[in-house]
Amino acid sequence: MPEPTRKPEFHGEGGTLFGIYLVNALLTIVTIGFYSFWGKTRLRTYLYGQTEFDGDRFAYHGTGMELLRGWLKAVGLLLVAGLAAGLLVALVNEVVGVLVLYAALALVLFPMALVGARAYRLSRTSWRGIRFSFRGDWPDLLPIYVPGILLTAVTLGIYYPLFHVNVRRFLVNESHFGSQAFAFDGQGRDLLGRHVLAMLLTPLTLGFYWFWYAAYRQRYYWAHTSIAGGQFSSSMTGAQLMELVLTNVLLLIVTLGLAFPWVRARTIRFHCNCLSLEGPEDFAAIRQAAVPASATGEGLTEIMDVDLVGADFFGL
Amino acid sequence: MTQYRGTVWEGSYFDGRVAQREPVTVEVTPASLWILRADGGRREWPYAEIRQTQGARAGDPVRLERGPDPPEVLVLADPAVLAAIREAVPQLRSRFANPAWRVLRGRLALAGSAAVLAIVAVAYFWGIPLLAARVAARVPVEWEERLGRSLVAQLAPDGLRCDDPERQWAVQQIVDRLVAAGPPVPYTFRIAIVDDSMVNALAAPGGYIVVYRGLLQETQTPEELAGVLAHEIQHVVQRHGTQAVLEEVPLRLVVAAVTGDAGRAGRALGVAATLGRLRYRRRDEAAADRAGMRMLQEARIAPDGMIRFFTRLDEQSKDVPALVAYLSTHPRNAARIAALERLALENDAPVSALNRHQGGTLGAPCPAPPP
Repeated sequence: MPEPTRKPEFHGEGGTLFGIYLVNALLTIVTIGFYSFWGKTRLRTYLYGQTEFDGDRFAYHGTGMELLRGWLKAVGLLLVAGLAAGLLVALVNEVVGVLVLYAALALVLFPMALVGARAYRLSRTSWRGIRFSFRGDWPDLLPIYVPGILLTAVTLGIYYPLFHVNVRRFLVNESHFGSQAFAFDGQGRDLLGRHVLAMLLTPLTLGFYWFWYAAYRQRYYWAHTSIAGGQFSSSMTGAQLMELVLTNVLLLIVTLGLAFPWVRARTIRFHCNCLSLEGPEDFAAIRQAAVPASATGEGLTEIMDVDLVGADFFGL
Repeated sequence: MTQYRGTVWEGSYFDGRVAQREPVTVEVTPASLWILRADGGRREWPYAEIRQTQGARAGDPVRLERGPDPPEVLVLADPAVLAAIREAVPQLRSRFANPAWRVLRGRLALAGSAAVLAIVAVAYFWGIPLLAARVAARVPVEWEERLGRSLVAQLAPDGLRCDDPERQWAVQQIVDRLVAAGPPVPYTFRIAIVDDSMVNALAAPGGYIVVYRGLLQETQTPEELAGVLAHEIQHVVQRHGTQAVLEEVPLRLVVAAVTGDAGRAGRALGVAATLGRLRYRRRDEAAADRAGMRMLQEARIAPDGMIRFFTRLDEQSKDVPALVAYLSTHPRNAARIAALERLALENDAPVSALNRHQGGTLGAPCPAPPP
């Protein structure tokens, strides 16, 4: 018997999203910013609730209060880092103070933000009543991330796909759906040739080759991602990706940005349409295994404006 | 065992332990909600323990949850089940979205969005300028001076200034004569000459007037220069710059809110104060023209200089790129000149000529700063 093929489907509509964004914006103004945490939660509840996989919708369980607490903790952490650096500037000298601050940001706060945000969002996502989770901790990212950045810099960007794949391997392999881990078996060297080609061709084609490389990378990543014996795949092509991005940009320009909710909806729909999972027979063997996570990492990403590998569910 | 048989619905049940969908039948009774499983087993959900987390909008399935995290879940396609529950437990009805509102809620959201956009548009084009004008009139002169100082420090930094006291004095003299002729104003006017061939002049709040060397070169008589200066003085006196900055603040707050960044919203207040654009709306330009012309007449300066200069600008700007700068921050059209001519005719008081500048032409290259 052939294995079933399952696809996600997005039911959300730009008009409804527009209403959510607008109400969020107004309440955020009225509350001098404080509502933004609840607004973000409302938005995610809608987006996750409109995404269906194999006949059942996802659910988001986070709350605005969690996000507010995470943000406050993140502010506290950054203040501590800033104060410590200030103290070193006063006691030792400026060079040491600034170096320590950068080191703290790069070696602690950035990985904390990346891993923490992913852990928080996965832990607040469910499908068929079963929670997702992320079991990795931020120090585990350091042995991947520190040499990765250094080698990328030394090789003038040629090492980047190996770095990107290594980070992705960590992020995917530590992601779980209930008791079942996701698995990633991609190798950075498989992407190396294409990446070098993209580095050469992207400037020559006024950037257009990038769409083909990005689509190829998506297909490669999903072709090496699996869960419980089921194999993901992506049908994204460079032409499709280019069409999506160019029409999005055009829509935003023509409407002075007001089409943003529709752009968001059609982008999610596009990603859903590209993705499919072949097998397994059923998910009955997967049991509940929720792992708690705080929203501190979310707060850090918020303040530091980082989203390196995309902590969203679709960035799996 | 007699059991009350209420209305029955088809649904999916997730027990919160295994990732499996179980088709079930749901029965709404006055006491509680019953889940009837395929194997004949039944689960009782007291209404007080049930939360609705999805299904308030048209097209969405109804999602009910029960118990501590991670909960049991019940998903029902037919929203009518909500009406039945609301009828069964009227005291808890606020916990279940009224299905009659599903379509209406979507329409209300859209209508409300449209209404809010309309209100925002009215506020932006009418309410905020009105409010800004009111507030600007009450801003202390010291605040305006501080704002003007920081703007001038950006527009005309010391390194770009024309370091020539004599030329400074020649321009200052015209400004003083203009200001002295009218009703008293609370401003001390300061001139900054920028060593740049651009033909332009700008007014910053608090009495700061920036004059580019190109303008001094292009104006052929002191009367022509006086016309431009009178216009800029009126921007200061009528507080157009302060108004423009005040109008920018709410806009930046909205942008910060839409991008959903609480920190940015706070910073917006500070940034708005330093980023005031020095381009005024058409109405402000016309007002500055009118009052500027009156000022010339009160100071007994021939008004045809102002008209002549603007006419020449209009005619020549096609051929002389340097003239485009003035027109990029000021209106260009025949109507403006016609209006000025009308105003000049209304009052033909006697005029006395301004002194010609003696130390060479005003637009000559600036002396090199002392080493």
